[in-house]
Amino acid sequence: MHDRRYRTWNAPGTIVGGQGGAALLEGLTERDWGESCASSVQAEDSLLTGKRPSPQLRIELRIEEPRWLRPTVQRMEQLLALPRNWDSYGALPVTVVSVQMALNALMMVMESRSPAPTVVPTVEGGVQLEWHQNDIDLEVEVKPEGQILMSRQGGLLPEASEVGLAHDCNILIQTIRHL
Amino acid sequence: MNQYEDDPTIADHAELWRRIPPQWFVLDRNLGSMRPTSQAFQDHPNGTPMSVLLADVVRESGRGTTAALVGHKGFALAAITAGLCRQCSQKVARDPKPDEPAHGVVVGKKSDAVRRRLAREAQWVVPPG
Repeated sequence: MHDRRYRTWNAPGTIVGGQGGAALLEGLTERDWGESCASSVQAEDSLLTGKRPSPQLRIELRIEEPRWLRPTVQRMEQLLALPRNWDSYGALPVTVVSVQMALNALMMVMESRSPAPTVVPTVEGGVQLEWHQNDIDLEVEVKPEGQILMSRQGGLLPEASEVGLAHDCNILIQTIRHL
Repeated sequence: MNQYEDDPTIADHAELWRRIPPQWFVLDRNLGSMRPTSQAFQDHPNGTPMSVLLADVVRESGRGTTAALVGHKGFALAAITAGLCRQCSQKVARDPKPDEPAHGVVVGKKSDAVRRRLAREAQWVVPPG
């Protein structure tokens, strides 16, 4: 099993499309997220007003800060500030929901010394987490509405293509351990 | 998408250029180099096919790589070949626009495997600054 200290990620923020107090990966129960550790992420999204101010993610941890967290959050804040057409081909702005779900997933599956992902925006308004090391190519795409898909190639692990993580994150946990 | 057919006058070795914004630069430690993310080879969010510039047409008009990046500070330019796209079950077609006669499209379903292959085999024409 992975380190459960990092599994709790309570999100009471004002998230467009969120679930009012908790942002959970589909299929997980409250119990899955633990009770002893209070971590939270808050974000303001003004997509509904058409504005795109500097975003700020507020994260509260009662655990040791994982080394991958700070650069990852800073990167996500930058991505949230991207305007429409940031790629020059008509890409949509990154949604807060996708960032929140990406952070949720990372808090669940990463250990404190796991390597930080590269975070890139997608044209649809989602984000993709990537690792390319130790002969493994791992990509986790978070759709704008929060659905999460994983693909991996290389290494000693069998190839996986666009595997949904709604009900089982073990495949991702195992892959990250091999990085 | 059905309006496009593969254009046999575009040779397999023809270069197709795609602008890469800095948010799409990825350090690939397996390759030992920076490359575009697989997300850089995706169709338009409105469903229209992925846009490219036909390098031959750009050059025929007396322009160069910088023409593709005018107004896009910090962007790089990556090239894939028409033949690579066809190996990935994509069609390559000309789609000239009034303001860009070299505009083309790469048509077909871009699964993650297709996008990953295009990203891994892309070559920098103008590398990340």
